[in-house]
Amino acid sequence: MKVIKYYKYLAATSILLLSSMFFISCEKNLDVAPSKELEGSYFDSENKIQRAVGSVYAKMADMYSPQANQGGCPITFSILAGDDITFDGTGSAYETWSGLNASDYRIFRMWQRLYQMAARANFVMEKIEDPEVNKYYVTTGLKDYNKGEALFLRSWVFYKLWDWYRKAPILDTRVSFDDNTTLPPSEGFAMLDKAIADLETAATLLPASWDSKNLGRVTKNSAYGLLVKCYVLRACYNNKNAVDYGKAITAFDKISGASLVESFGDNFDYRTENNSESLFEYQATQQPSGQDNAWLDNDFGGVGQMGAYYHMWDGHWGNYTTGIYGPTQKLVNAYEAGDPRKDETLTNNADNLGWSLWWISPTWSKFYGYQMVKYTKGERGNKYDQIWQFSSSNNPRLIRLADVKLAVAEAYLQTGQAGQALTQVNDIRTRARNSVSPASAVPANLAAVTMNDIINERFLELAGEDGHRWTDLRRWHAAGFIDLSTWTAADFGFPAIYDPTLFKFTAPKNLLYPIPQSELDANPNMATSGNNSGY
Amino acid sequence: MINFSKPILWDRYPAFKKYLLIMKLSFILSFLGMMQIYASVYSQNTKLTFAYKDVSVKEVLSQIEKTTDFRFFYNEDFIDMERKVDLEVTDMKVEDVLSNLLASSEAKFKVLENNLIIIAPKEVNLQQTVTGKVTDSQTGEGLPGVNVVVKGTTTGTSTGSGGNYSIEVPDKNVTLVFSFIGYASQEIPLNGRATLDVALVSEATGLEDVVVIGYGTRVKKDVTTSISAIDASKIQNVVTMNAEMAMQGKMSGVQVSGNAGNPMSRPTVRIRGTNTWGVSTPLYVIDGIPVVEYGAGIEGLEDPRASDVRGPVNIMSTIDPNDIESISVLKDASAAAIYGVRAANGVILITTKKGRLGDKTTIEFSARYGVQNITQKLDVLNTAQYTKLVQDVYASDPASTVAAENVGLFDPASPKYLGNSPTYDWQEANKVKNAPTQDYSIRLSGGTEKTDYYLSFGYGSTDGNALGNYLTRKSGAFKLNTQINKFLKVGTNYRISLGDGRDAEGYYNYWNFALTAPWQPIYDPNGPNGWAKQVEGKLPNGSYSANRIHGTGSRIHVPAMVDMNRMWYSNIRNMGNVFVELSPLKGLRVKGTVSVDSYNHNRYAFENYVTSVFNYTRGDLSTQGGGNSVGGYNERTIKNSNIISELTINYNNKFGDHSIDLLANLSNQQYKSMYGGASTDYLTTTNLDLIRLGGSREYNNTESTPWEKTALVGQMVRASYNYQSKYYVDATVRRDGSSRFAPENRWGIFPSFSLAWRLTGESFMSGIGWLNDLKLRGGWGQLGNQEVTPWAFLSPITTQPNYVWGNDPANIGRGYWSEGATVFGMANPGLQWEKLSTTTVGFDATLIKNLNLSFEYYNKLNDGILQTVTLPSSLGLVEAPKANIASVRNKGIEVSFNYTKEIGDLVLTVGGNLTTVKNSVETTYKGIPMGTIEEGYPIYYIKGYKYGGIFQSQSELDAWLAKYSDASYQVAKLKPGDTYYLDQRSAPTEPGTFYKDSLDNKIDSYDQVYLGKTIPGFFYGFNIDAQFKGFDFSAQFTGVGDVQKVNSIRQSMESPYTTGNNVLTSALNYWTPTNTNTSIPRMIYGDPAQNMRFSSRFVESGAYLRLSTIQLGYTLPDAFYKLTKETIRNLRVYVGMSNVFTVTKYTGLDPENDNYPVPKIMYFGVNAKF
Repeated sequence: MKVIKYYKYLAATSILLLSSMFFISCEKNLDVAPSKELEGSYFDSENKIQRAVGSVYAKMADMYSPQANQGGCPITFSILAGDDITFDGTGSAYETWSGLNASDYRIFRMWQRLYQMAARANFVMEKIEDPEVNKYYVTTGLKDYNKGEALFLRSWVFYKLWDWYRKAPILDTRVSFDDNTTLPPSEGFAMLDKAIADLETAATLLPASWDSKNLGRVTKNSAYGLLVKCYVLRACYNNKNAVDYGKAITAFDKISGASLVESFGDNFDYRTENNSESLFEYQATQQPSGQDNAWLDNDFGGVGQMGAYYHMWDGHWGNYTTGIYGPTQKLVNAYEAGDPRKDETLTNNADNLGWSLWWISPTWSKFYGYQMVKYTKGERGNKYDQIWQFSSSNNPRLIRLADVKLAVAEAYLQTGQAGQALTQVNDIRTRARNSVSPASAVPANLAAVTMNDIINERFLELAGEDGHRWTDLRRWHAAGFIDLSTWTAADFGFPAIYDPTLFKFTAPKNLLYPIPQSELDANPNMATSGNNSGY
Repeated sequence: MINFSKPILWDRYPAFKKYLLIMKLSFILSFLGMMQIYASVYSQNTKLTFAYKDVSVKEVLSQIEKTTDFRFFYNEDFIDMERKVDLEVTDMKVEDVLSNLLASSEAKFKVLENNLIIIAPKEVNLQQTVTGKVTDSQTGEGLPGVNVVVKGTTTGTSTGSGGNYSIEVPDKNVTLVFSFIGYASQEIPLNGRATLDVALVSEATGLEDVVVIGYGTRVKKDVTTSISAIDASKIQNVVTMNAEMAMQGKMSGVQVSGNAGNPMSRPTVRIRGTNTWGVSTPLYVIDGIPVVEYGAGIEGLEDPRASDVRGPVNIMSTIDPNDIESISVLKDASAAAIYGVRAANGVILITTKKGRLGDKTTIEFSARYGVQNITQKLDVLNTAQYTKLVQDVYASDPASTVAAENVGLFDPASPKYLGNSPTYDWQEANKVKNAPTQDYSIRLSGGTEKTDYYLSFGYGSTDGNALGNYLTRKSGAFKLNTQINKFLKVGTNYRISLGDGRDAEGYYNYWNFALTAPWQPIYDPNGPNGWAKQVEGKLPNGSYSANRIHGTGSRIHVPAMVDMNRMWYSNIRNMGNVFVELSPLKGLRVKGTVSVDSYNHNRYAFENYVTSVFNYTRGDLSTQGGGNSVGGYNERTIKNSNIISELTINYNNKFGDHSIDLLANLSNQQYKSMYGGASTDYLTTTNLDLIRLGGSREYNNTESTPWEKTALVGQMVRASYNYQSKYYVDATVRRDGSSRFAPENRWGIFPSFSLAWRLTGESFMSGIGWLNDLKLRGGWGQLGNQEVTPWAFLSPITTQPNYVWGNDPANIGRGYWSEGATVFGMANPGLQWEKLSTTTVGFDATLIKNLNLSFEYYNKLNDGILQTVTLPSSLGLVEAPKANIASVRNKGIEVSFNYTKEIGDLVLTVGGNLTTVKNSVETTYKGIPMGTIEEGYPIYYIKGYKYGGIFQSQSELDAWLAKYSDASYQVAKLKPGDTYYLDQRSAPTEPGTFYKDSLDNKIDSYDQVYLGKTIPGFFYGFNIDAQFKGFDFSAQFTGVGDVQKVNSIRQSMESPYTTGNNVLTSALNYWTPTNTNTSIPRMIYGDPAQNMRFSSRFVESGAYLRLSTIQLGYTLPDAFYKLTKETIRNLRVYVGMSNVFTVTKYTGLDPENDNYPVPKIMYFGVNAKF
C-alpha cells in the first residue's frame, strides 16, 4: 500500500518536472524565423544595393502607367492643364478649373507617389552610408554613383512637388517611428533650393555614362539638365534673377556628350530609347509574365504595372480615362505648314498611319478629328502588354536636351546674350526641319529671338510631354512674360464649341494645385497651415 | 472563568451597555454555532454533588469549575453574581443545578459542547438546537448548501458537507423551510422534534445544467462569469452549413450579422460590441483546438492578398452542426481569460458530441431537405424607358459627347437604334429558383463501463440562389475515451471534412445584376453555347474588336461566363487530438493533450477563351499562350497547419463547505501557413476532366510563399473557490507570449477575477417567496490581443517593385528586368500587446417558478489598439506602420429572460434577450482622426455631407450662390433642380484640430459630418416554443435597432442621368420645373453639381426585425416504439421556414446584405433514433 502511494507521488513529481521542462522549451518556441528578408541582413552584395536603387526608379511606374484601378494615370492632370491639350467634353476639372478641390484623386496620387519615391531615395542614401552595407561595394565609384542617383531622383521629386504644390514638406531623411512623423510645410523656395543644392552634389557624383545594360540610369548630364530647368524656374519666380540665369548657363555648359537626335520622332520611339538627346526617361517596360495588370500598382510585384499609359489619346476599350485627351485647336493651328513636328505630334488621319491595332477607331471624330500620336504613331504604338494591350513599353521622355536647350535659351536671353539664345532656338528648329527626308523648309531659322519666340518654340517642340507646358506657363506668368489672369478660355485652348463661361481659371488660386485633403487630415502641421490659397 | 472586564466606555454610556452586550454575545454564539459546536455527552454524564450555605452565586460557579471541566462565561454587569444562595445537590446534572441556582434571577444559561456554559440575561436569546440531514430524494446523497430557515424569520443556516445541518430555534414548534436551487422547497413543522431529516426532490430549473467554461464544465448556478450557451436542440433548428448562424438572436451579447445567400460566406460575429476596427472576430475553439487561418491578424486590413488568398469559403463550414453538442460563448474577460491569447474578442467554445459510459449503442439519423428563394427584386427601367432616358440625358447638355460605342444606338434614324428591342430580365437570368439545401447525418454512440465512443458521418449541401454557386460538405467524426485503470485515462477525437464549393469570382453582387441594360440580349442560338455575345469579337477582316455591341450600358454576361468558365474550391480539413490523463491523487488530474488542425484549401479556375466575347475587359484572348490555346487554368493551394500541445493540471476537491478548483495550464501553439499557385495560358481542351497544368508549351507561371509561422505560448493559473454555493471567487492569471512582438515586448501578464454572491443563500432573503434564486456577480479582467501583421516590429525588405534598365537588343523597348529591394513600411519595435479591460456586474435570478432572468452591465476598454497608423502621405510610406495607437470603449447592458409555463399538456416557453452597445473611440494616435475612426465617435461611423435640398428656382440658386460656395460645383453649369448641402464646419486654424465648428459659407470636405453609425445601438432576439402532446413548435425572432445604413443601391441606381448602367424606375421621378415635389435631382449629363455625391440623402435606418426561423414538429408517441419493439426509439418529423419575413424601413434589398440577401428557406426533415 505504502509503495503504491510512493509511486503515485513519484508520478506526480515527474509530471511537474516534465511540465516545467515544457515551460522552458516554450520560451524558445516563440523564436520563429521570419518569412521575410530583413533590412538588417538583406544587403550582402553590390547587386542587392543596385536593387534598392532600382526601386526608386520603379516608383515612376505608379505615376506614368495606366493605374486603371484608382482613377487613372496620375500624371494626366498636369498634361491637361495648359494650352496644348484639351479634354473631350467639359467634364474635367483639370481643364476647366471648376470643381477642382483638395479631395481630387489624381492630385493626391501624384503627391503620394512622389513622396514614396523620395522615401526610397532616402532609404538608399541611409543604407549606402551604413558600413555593414557599403563594405559590399566592389566596383570603383559605384557608391558615389548610387548616391548621385538617389539625390537626383529625390531632387526631381522636390522639383515637381514645389512646382505643383509649393509648400509641400521636405522629406530629406528616412523617418523612423519615433521621429517626428508630421512634417511641417516648407517655406518659400526651401524645397526648390534643396533640389538645386542636391543636384549640384549629384552632378559631381554621377557617372558621365552607363554601359548598355544600365542605360537609362541618370548621369551627370541628367543632373545638369535638371539643374538648368530648376535654375530657370527659380529665376522666374524670383523676379528674373540674373544669378540663377547665370547658374543655369553654367550648368548647361557642363553638359557634355549629349546631342539632339537626328529625327524629332526618335524621341518618342521605343526603338530609340535612352538616346543621345535623352537626359531622363521613365524606363517603361512589361513584366516578363506578359501580364501588366492595369489595376495593380508596380508595388504589387509579379503582375504589377511597369508600362506607360498613352490610351488617353486613343480609343482603347480601357475605361473612362481612354480617348478623352486631345490636341487643342490652338496647338493644331500653331504649326507652320511643313513643320515636320506636326505630323509626329498629331494627326487627323489615323487610318493612314498603318495601324492594324484593334483599339484604334477608324472613325475618330473627337478634337476636330485630331489625335495626339507622339508616342503611338505607327510602329511606336505597337509595344503594348500582350494581354490587356493597355500599358506600353515605350518610354516617356521626361527631360531631353531640346527642352534644356530651350530653357537655357531663356537664360541667355534674359542675361543679354541674345546671340547664344538664338543659337539654341535655331538648333531646335534645324533639327525639326531635318526630321524628314528630304529636309523640310520649315521651320526656318530665326534671325533674332524674343521671349515670345521661345515660348512658341517650346509649345511646338514639347506639346503634350509630361505636363511641361503648364509648368512653363506659370513660371512665365510669375516672371511677367505673360499674364495668365487675362487669358481667355480660348487662350487656354478651351474648345470653342463649348460655352466659355464654363472655363473657370482664376489666378492666383489655380497657379497651384490644392494640397491633398488626406495630407491635411493626417498632418496637423499642414492642417494648421491650411490649403493653398483659394482651395 | 471568563469575566468581561469593565470597559470604561460602557460606564460612560450606560444606556448602550446592555445593547452592546447583547450584540457581543450574539456574535459569540453565532460564531460558536458556525464552528458546529453543540451540546455533548459530557454534560449529560457528569453528576454534581455538593452543599453550600450563604455563598455567592459566583462562588458556587467557581467551585463547580474547580471540580469539573465546566467553564462559565458571564458578565457581572448584567447578572447579580454576588447574590447569596443556599444550595444542596446530589448526583444532579449541571443543567439542573444551574436551573436551581438561577431560578430566581434574571439570568438563564446554555451548555455548549466544549463544556462552556454561558450565563446571560434572559433578554439574550439562547436558542435550542435542531439538527438533521438533507438528502437528495433520488440518490440519497447528502446535499450541502441547502438553505434551512425558520419560517417567518430571518433565522437560518445551510447544510454542510454531507448535508448535515444544525439550527438554533426559539422553540421546537416552529416550521423549517428547506430550499435549494434545483430542488422543490419544503416546509416542515418541527412539532417538538430536535432532529429532522429531509429528502428534497429535484426540480428542473436549468440551474443544474452543465455549462462548458473552457478546460472544464460547471453547473450553471456556480458560474460567476458571463457565458451564454446553446445546446444541440437549438442548433439543429437552424438551416445552415455553419454553426455560427445557430447563435443568431439566441444569446445576449452575441451579434451575428452580414448573413448572405452565398452558402460559403462568413457571417460577422461580434461579442459585446466592436473592440477594434482590425480583428474583432472572436476566437473559435473546437474541442480545445483554437482555430487559426491564413492571414490571421491581417484580415480586414489593407493587405489585399490575405483575403484573396484565404478565399471565400468559411472555415467554420467544415464542422457539421449535427456533431455539435453545445456552443458556449465566453463574453467577459474573466470567462475568456482562460483562452487569453486571442480571446480578447470573446471565445466561442464548440464542444462536439460524444458517447456516454454505460449507454447502449444508439444510432441517430437525421435528414433535412429544403428549397431556397430570394424574392426581392429591383424595379428597373425597361428598354423603352431606358432608351428615352439616355436620349434625354444626351440632349440635356450640348457639350455631351456620345461614347464611341453608343453612337447610333439611341438615334431612331440609325439602323443600330435600340429603342425597339425587347426588354430582357437580367435579374431573373442570374437567379436560381428553388435552390435546394439538404443535410443528412448518421451518428452512432454508446459506451461500456470504461469506454465511450462516438462515430458520425454527415453530408450537407446548399446551392446558392445565384447561378453556379454551391457548397457541399462530407464529414466524419470519431471519438473514443477509455479509462485504462483507476489512474489513467486516454482518449482521441478525430474529425475530417471534405468541402467543395463554387462561385463566380466577383460577380455575385445581386443588385449588379439589375444594372445591365435591358436591351442586352441574354440568349442567341448562334452564340457560344447559346448565349448572346457582349462584344463584337473577331471582325470579318480578321481583326478583333472589344467594342460592346450594345453600348456602354451592356455588362459582362455573367450567366454565360458562369456556364462556360468555372472557378471552384475544394478543401480538406483534418483535426483531432489525443490525450492522456492521470489521476494520481483524489481530485488531481494531469492531462496532456496534443491537437492538430490541418486545413488545406484549393482554388481552381478555368477560363474558356471563347468567353472573351462575353466580357469586354478581356480583349482578344486568341493570342494567349502563344496562340491556338483554348483556355487558361489556374490552381492555388493554401495550407494551414496548427499544432497545439497542452498540459493541464487540475485539482478539484471539496472540504466541507469549501469547494476548490485549481487549474494550471501550459499551452504552446505553433501555426504555419503557405500558399502556392500555378497557372497556364495554354490548354488544348476545355474538358474539365482533362485539363492540367504544364504540357508541351511553356506558358506557365508558378509561385509560392515561404511558410508563414507564428507561435503562441500561454501559461495560466485559475483558482476557483466557493463556500456553500453561496460565496464564489474565481481568479485567473495568465502570461502569454507571442511571436508577433519583439523579444523584449513578447510577454504580457493578464489578470482577471470574478466574484459571486448567492443572496438567496442568505437567511435574510428567505422570506421572499417569489424569488427562488438570486446570484449577484461581477468581475474585472484584462486580456491581450496580438492580432497584427506578422513581423510589424521588424523591417522587412520587399522585392515586389520591379524595374528595368538598359536597352536590350533582344527585347527592344523593354530593357533588362530586375526585382527591386526596398522597404514599404516603417518598423515599430515598440509594438506591444493590445490590452482589453472588462468590468462586468450583473445578476442571475430565478423568479417564481421557471422564470429565469439575467441582467448584466459591461464596460470594456480596449487600450493600445494594435492598428495601422494613418501617417501623412508626405512620409512616403507604401505600408503604414502598426502601433498601439488608439482606445475604444464598448459598454452596455444585457438582459435575458426565459419563462416556462405548463398549462395542462401544453408546455410553453418564452425567451428573449436584448443587448445594448455604446461604442466609442476614446483616443487616437496624436488625436488625429483616421477616416471614420475619430475620437468621440463610434468606429466606422457614417460621415458625409448633410443634404440641404433641391434648388427650386433660379432665384433660389442665385441667392444660395451669393452666400455660399461648394468646392464640388461646376458653378457655370448649375441649374434649378440641382442639390445643395449644408454648411457645418470650416477648416481648422488651431494646431492639433482638424476642423472648426464655426461656419465659413464654403461647402467642402470639412462639412462632411456624422450621419449615423454602423454598429447597432442594440440587438435582440426572442423565441416562443410550445409543446403539446407529440407536437412541438418554435419560432425565433431576431433584430437590431438604433443603426443606420448607407443605401448604396439608391446612391448608384437612383441617378437620373445614365448612358451606361440601368437605374431604378424611381429615378424617373427626377426634378423638372413641373415636377418639383421630389427628392431626385434634375437629369443632367455629367452631374456638374455632383448631385449623386454621398450625403445624408442616402442614409437610412438599418433597423429590422426578422422572423428567422419557425418550425413545427411531431414526435411519434410511445405506442409506436413499442410496436417496433424499441427498434425505433424516437422519431420526429418536422417542417419549417427560415427568414420568413423582415420588418424594416430600409429600402434596399436587405438590411443585412444588399449584395446577396439571405433567401427564404422552406424545409422538412426527420430525426430518428434507433
